[in-house]
Amino acid sequence: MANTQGIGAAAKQAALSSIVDSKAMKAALYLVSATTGPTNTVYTATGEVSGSGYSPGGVSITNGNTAGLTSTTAYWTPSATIAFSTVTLATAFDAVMIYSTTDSNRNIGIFTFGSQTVTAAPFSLTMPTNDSSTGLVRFA
Amino acid sequence: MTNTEQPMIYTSMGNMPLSDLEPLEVVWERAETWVKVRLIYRYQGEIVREEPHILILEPLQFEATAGALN
Repeated sequence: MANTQGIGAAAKQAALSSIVDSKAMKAALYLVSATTGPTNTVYTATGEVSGSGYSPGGVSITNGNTAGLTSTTAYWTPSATIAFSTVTLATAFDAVMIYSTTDSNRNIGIFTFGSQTVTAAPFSLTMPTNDSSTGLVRFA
Repeated sequence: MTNTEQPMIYTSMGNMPLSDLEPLEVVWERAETWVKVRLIYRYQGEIVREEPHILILEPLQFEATAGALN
């Protein structure tokens, strides 16, 4: 039987745990015209949406999950839908940044979902199943 | 006793009788990593309420690679 090269599964879980477990997190929305991405180290107000009912910095995320591990894939997903109550966002946006306020607004990830506006209504982002194949953040 | 109340809905023009609006328009979109549904209400052709809901399907995966010893 041959040896197998790879990062240890428990190390992956520990790495993910260190940035998500028990952290207070928020979700901010970004305009289509923005250039927000993985190179942003922390939350930025540049390119963020603005409009009636939307507070700069976005909304708090329910974070009841800790980093899980199945086989060699670590994963994590917010434990509830990200919900913006009645807002009007007339300029098209297409991305959300999830960031950790516990860790000086560290950018956890940017997720895109196609151009969108909202008029006098709620807006929601329903999370995928929290597992190793569909979790929002996976470390494989 | 008769019930004269009519259902109202919040719009960009304030609360409006649902019956004054055009029929609800439901628009579905699907991409590789998300599914979106938009509920659109119009009054005389103008959008007065647009309510999007997005289901994220399968977004980010990071690969952890162990470097080879040369």
